[in-house]
Amino acid sequence: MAFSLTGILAVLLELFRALLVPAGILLLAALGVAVYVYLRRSQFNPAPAVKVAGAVGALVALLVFAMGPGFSSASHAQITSIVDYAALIGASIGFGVGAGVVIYPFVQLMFRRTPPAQRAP
Amino acid sequence: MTHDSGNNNHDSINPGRRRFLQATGATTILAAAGTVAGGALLRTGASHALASSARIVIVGAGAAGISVASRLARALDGARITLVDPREQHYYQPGLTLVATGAWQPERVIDRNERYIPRGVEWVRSSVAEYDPENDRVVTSDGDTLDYDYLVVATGLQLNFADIEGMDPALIGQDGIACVYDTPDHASRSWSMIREFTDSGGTGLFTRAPGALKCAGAPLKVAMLSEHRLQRQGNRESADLQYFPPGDGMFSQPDIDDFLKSHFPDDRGINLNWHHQLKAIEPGARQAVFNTEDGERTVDYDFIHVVPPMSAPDPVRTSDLAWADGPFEGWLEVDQYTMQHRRYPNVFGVGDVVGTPIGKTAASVKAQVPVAVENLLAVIQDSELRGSYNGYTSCPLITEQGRGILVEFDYDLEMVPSFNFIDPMEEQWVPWLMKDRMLHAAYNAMLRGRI
Ligand SMILES: Cc1cc2nc3c(=O)[nH]c(=O)nc-3n(C[C@H](O)[C@H](O)[C@H](O)COP(=O)(O)OP(=O)(O)OC[C@H]3O[C@@H](n4cnc5c(N)ncnc54)[C@H](O)[C@@H]3O)c2cc1C
Repeated sequence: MAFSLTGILAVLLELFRALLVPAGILLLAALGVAVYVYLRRSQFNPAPAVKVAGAVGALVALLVFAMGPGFSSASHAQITSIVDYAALIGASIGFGVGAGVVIYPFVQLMFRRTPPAQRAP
Repeated sequence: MTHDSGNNNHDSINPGRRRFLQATGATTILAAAGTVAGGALLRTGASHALASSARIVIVGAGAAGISVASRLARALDGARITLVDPREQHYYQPGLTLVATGAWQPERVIDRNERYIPRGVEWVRSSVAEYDPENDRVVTSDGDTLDYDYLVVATGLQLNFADIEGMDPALIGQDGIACVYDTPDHASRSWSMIREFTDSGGTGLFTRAPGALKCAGAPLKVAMLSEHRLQRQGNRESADLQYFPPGDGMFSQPDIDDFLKSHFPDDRGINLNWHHQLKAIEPGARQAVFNTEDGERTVDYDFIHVVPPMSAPDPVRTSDLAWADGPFEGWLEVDQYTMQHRRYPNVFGVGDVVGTPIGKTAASVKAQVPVAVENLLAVIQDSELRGSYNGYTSCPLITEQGRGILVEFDYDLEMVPSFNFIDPMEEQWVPWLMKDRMLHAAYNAMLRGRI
């Protein structure tokens, strides 16, 4: 039975229905902060923020990989086929990237460029 | 593809009213076309909808009835849609197997119909006691008469516990008796019996009634999940498991049938007893009596999973809407492709109640409903019936808590996988993940008429 794109979206909507409001608020906040950061980009130092957000994303990916089977009352011993591994790794990467992207604007706020030292007159 | 049910011996709609309904349908299509041609930038749902003053009665607000109501409410503008069902609660029945085997809490499968019934659809909280298709009306148990132009029968099926001597649903949850079917309460009482049995061991009997069943995989899943729990409890050696198919098959799809016939005895140590139909149960003595090819056989048990015979609900079964004879006797007589009644063209059927070769699953409902709705709209517009149901059905056959196989097939009993990369013959985690996490969401999207 084929699933259309709108069908898949409808299923995802139902899956995350209870989380839609908090997730929407979080995404809007992240978007707002991202716009703020972008408009004042000269004041921010992106490199350390990207590293921290990347580390958080990697941590989330590892956690999803470690806890994914347990989340569905299964165990790692039951992950046997290529499809199983692909699903678990895919979900880990997806959640990891998602977490990194969402957290980046907030992390960026913590890393401002230090203003150049005032020259002596 | 079009199908002719060969059934136009009853023009059940008053011809004058029918012409009026068709004329309003045609006028709306022209009006809608005019609006679009006129350059309307914002098209509302109503401009897509077919204007009709048809009175449509849908009997049953389960998986099929609510899905039909959702789709019709969007597709029609001005129609009077009435849904009849006394039940306030909505049960997500595919989750009952997981409740009965301890993976889910019962609350997870209990919802409210009111959350899904679309605005504009009238809900009559009563049950239909009598169908009168000659006069286009149904009579409720309260004695009210509902007239219709079009009728959709979606009442699901009835469990006939009384066909097993000594059996009563009140016994579920006592004396080792379990039954996964029907209600979350039955399922959770069954879990207490399965837990007791898998903790202490003994002889466990897993039965399967003859004839059509809803989710015919459920009795198999209960057997396999119980066996798996025994293993997890380290108790497997203390239990003797016996499965009782009523004939010489375990599953209608031949590849899966072959798989199960070796998997049960060879991999799971579950003994198969062919041609055993549960005839009677003696709860106090913990004895089950089976009809076999060699006469009656009495078997002692510590635990028994009882699967009652099933039929269309009595008001359908005893009405003129049912097949009078043949393999589907008593079930709703629809054309297996169009879902239109074979003798009453203004009547359609969807879900477990229909007499078709296969398809008593929520997955079948998902495939049947768009077809039935498309064809009902075609009948309203007096156009050709184009929707065709191919018999699609699906069963995530859970082999253990954490793994399963995703079986999807059609009327030809051919595998028709939705996802080609998931091997339907291999036990994997992904089908379990789908069952545990995804399918309930898909079911709810179906209720809303979105898939
Ligand atoms: C244990 C179990 C496991 C299952 N597992 C799966 C699975 O894994 N996958 C899958 O796809 N399917 C599964 N199913 C099957 C699936 O739940 C059914 O096929 C599906 O619910 C059928 O929908 P329906 O609308 O025809 O019937 P139902 O959902 O049963 O709804 C029928 C409705 O009609 C109402 N009704 C009955 N008589 C009348 C009357 N006279 N007047 C008014 N209203 C009436 C009832 O109150 C009910 O609300 C399972 C079912 C069970 C019991």
